[in-house]
Amino acid sequence: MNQLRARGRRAGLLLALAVLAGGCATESSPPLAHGEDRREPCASRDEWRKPLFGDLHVHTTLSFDAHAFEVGVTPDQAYRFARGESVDLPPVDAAGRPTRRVRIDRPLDFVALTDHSEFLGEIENCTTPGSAAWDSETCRTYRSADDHVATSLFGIQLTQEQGKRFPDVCGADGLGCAEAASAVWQRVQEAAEAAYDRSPRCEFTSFVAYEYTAAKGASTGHRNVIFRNARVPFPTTYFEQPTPQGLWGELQATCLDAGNGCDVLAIPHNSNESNGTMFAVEYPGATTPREEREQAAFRARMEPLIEIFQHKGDSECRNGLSGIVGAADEQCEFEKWTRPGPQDCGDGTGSLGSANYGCYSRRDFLRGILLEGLKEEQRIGENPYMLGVIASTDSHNGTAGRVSEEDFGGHRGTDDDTPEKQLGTGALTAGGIAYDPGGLAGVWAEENSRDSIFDALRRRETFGTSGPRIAVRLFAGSGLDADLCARPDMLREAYAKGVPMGGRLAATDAPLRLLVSALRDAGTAERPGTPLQRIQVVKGWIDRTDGQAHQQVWDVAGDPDNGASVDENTCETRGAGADSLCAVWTDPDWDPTERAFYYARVLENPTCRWSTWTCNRLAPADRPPSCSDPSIRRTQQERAWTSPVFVEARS
Amino acid sequence: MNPLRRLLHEPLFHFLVVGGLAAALFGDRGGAPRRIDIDEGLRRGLRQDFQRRTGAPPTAQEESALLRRWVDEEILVREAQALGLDRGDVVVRRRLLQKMEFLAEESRPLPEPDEATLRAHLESHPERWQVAPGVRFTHVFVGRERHGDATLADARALLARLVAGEDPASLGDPFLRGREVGPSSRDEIAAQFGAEFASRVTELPVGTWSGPVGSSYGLHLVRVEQRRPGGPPPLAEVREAVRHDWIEERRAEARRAKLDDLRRHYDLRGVP
Repeated sequence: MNQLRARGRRAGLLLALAVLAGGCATESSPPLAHGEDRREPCASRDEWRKPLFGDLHVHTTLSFDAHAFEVGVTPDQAYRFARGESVDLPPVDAAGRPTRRVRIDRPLDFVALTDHSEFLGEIENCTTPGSAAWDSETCRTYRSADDHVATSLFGIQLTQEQGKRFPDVCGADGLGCAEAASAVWQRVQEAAEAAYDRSPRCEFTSFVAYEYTAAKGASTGHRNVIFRNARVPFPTTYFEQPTPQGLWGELQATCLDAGNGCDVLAIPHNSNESNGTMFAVEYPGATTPREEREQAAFRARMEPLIEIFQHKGDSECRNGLSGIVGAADEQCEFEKWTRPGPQDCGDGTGSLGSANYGCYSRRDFLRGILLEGLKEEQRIGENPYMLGVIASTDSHNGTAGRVSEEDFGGHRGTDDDTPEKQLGTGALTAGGIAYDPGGLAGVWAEENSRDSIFDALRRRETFGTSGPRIAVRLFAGSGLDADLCARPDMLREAYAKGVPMGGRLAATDAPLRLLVSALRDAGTAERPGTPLQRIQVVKGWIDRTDGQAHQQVWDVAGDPDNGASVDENTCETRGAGADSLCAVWTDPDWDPTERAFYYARVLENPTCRWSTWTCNRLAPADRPPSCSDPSIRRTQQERAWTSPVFVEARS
Repeated sequence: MNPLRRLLHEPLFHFLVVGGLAAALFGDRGGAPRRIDIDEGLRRGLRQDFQRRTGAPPTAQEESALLRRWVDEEILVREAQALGLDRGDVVVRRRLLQKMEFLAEESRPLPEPDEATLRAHLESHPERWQVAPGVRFTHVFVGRERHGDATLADARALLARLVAGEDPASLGDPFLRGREVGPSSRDEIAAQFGAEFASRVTELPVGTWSGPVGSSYGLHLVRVEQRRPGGPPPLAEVREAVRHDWIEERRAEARRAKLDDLRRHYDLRGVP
């Protein structure tokens, strides 16, 4: 009250009136036309499931950072982009109009727009002329400062132990922002509703979603929260729930236990920036193994997946970290964000990962996380990290699934909207040359509907790619026939005698077999996809005697020496590869008493990295130093990763 | 939370205190008492709102508290309006607009559209639900990886067996994307099998085995099961979307009609 009084009575009354009027408006907003989640059944439904490709991590102008970097793409526009229409991006001209027009080369099947839930209301207030907060110091800074400063202004709050909202933007009680955010959230839901194809054509699925953006100590703790249904609770934020346990508890209370059909899951991402914190083994408040077990099971339920690839690099694996026994995996050297001075967190944690500083932990990468999960399962009887795999973009341009290497358009607005900036060293975080065009999420689903895709996410029958639309399947079971790759009834047999990727099975005396099969990306008429080089199987296990974590990689199909190559100067590819690959593989070192996971990695023939395409388009004199920097890879092998299957050891 | 603490967190409380200050400041303005009526519609609205927030209908005591609070608000809003505080503030202006638009929409209650209404709406805007022509087909795959130089010969041999009536499910190589596809448009098929395959398959005759047709993966023997004509789909397939669109359109009409009506009460100069 003192604050209000201090501003003068008239201003105070105005503010109060605005709050009151806002309350009225929320109550009188027209309801969505679809109260319940009704839809027509899909005309095309495949009981053996088909691959659908989507992007589950996309930001629009509603995100504080995207907006600061002058991205104006709205949720409606972002959904339309995913279905093939163009959007306009910075750089902006003198009148503030975006000057680049981009479109995707082919539509996606599904998209979740995941704007940062923190600051939805702040951005609405700070960018609405005449709002109560319009003239506040914070809003004026946000609008007028350099784009990086504007981003940090809000972003820094997400790294604090006790993040705070700005009273001059939100009012002393924060209600001014909550009110604005609730109107924004209504629009988010309406945009998702308008984009969802409820007709039997089932051409496109949208998901209501948001990003929870905790980054305590500047170590990334981000999660994308994805809802199955149309009407969903108001998003929580780092401010109300500073811990992941708090986030999951809130989602349980407001959605899973709401009794109205609400369903939700969270997908962590950029563990590669978390300095060991995201998957640190901890059970806050638990005092008994039983309580630890309950927490582990709750975590596994809330977070069945991890996003292992996106603009900010790869989180599959990293060589040279302590705590994992096994030969180095040369294919881990792929789109890694590198930091000054190699440091290993060991069993501890560090900080500043989101600024690309601090130590790396083996638990920052899928493989080490999965191994840690097996260890925990051994210790307490429950695996907190039963994670399936997806990839996405994390585009802050609203450009879902725009993963082409040939013409990478940058990560976020003015931060990297020109070839010079894209090939530069970046600012704030590593950025620039370190970015990647990002990947796609793949699911095996009966049809393109919310229920079918969400079920696939829940059961982890998913895969991720570094961009191309490679389709890959993995089944595991000791009863799988060795000739499945030649059998017309392969899928029927595989489902009958094995478990699909994401599943778990009990070990038997008979050695485990994997059926793994992949199809190349068919590409488009203008840009045919790249042939496949090989499929690899990655196994991780805990040694029965010494409890050590192990890894091993096998080539199981295709040919690593197929002679295919790419010309770095023209990006033309040479040599043949495979259109499809298939193998039934038997684990040569099978031990039914060891806990283990297996997943597959499919590699394409070599192609140019995006930066090579971009450098090649510049006149030699205009090329920045990164174009000839030997530490920047000129070529790469794009890839797909399946979710693992988990083997329960026989006691 | 105890009622007093809850009250302290209520924006309304803040508002009332501030409002009280302002009222004290501006004082009594005299004149005949202005009238505030409480009708059943208002009571019902307050009860529904309470139930939506708390999950249960208000008790009699809670309801009278709700009414007292509403009256307080109403008085303060009228006073604020009398002072002109609602003018010149964009946020307030936007909220008022939003509210008036909603009232305009509600001024003509919308009936649930019947079959004939939806059909007529679909027929008068066919372009909104237009689908591209497409096909549904079954295919048998012969992969280059497995058949090598014999791919074409093996595919032709399989075609003969299919034409002779053998079960397609027992022939050919497994295919990850499934053996039955569609109904899908040419573009959708192209995204999965390649552009050339898509152009050929959409031209094939219905009900007979054809091929081999080349794709990005190898050769395929194809039987088109059904051809979907382009154009607007039958209502049954798009009912929800048509209903949504119809409602939105009626709402827009109601807003327009209300505005046209209101315009008649204004003397507009220099306005197009």
